[in-house]
Amino acid sequence: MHEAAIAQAVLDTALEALPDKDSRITAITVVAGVLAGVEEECLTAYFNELCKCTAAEGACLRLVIEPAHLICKECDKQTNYAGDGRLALQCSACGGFNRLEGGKALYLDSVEVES
Amino acid sequence: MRVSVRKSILSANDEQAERNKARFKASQLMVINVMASPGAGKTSLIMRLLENIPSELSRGVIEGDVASSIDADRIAAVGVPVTQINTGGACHLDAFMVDRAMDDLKLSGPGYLFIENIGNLICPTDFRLGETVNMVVASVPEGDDKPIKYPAIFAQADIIILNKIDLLPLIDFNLQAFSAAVRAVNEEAPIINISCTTGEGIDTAVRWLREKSMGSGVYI
Repeated sequence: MHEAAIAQAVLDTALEALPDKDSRITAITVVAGVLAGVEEECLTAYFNELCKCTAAEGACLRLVIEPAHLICKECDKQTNYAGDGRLALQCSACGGFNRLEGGKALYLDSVEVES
Repeated sequence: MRVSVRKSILSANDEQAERNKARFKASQLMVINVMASPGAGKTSLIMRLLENIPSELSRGVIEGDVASSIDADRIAAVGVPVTQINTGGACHLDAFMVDRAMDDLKLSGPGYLFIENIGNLICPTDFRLGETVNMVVASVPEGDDKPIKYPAIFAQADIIILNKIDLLPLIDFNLQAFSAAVRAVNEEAPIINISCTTGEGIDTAVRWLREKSMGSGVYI
C-alpha cells in the first residue's frame, strides 16, 4: 500500500529531472532493493493513474530489483537473497550463521526524455 | 534521450526527516519511532514506558492510526499530551505528518516523545520520521519467525522488544530461534523481553532509553 506514496515520489522526482517544460518522459527506470518492499504490479498501477495529465503520461516504468546478500559470519561465503524462498539463517557450506547486507536501495536511476 | 538522475526516490521525505531531527534535538527530545504489527502491544508498551519516566521530564505521544482515536484516548486518559494522526488508509506515517503533529503537540524537552507508527511490518520501513531511535516490537503470539519473514523492519531496529512473554508457557514460541532470526538480519540491536501485563522487563527498556538518550546527545 506504501506503493501509492512511492509512485507519487517517483513521478515527482522524474518530473523534476525534465530538462525543459516542453519535453516529455517516455520511460523511467527505478532501482529498488529487495528489502525496500516495493511490489512492481502495485507500483505500476498507481503510477499509471498518477502520471495522467503530466509530462510523464503513458511513460513506461521499469523496476530493477537489487538482491540483498547473505554473508556467512564464519567463512564469508556470500549468497544472494532475492526475496523469494526462506531467508537462510545458516551458511550452506559450513553451517555458520549468516548476516544480511544490502538490498535497501530505492532510487530513480534515469529517465528517457523526448522533446 | 536518456537522462541519468540517480536520486533517492524518498529524498523529499528524507529531507523533512532531517529537519524534524534538528527540531527534536533543539527541543531536547529523545524520539522513539515505535513500529510493530497490529496487536503487538505498541500502545500498552508506550503507556508502561511513560509510567516509568521520571515526572520531571516532559512526555508526549504522536499516535498514528488509519482511523479512530482509541489509542490517543488511552494516552490522554493518563494525562500525557497526545496528538492523533489519522492517515485515512495510508499504511505508514511520513516525516511531513510528524512535522504537522508537532505543531499541534507543542512539546518541548528535556524529555521523551513516542511516535506510534501504523500497525504494519512492511510500509513504515522506508519512511524516516526524524526519530532518535527505531523501536520494533514483536510479540509471542505472532511466532518466532517474524524477523525472517519481515527482515527489513528488524534490520533497521535500534532496539527490539519482545512483548507478551507471560504467554510463553502457553504458546509454541522458541526464544533461541527468535534470537537467531534477529541476529541474521541485525547484529547489534538489543532484544529486551517484556510483558506489559506483568511489568517484567519494562525497567530494562527504560534504562536502555535513558542510556541511549545520553549517547545521542539528548541529555535527559
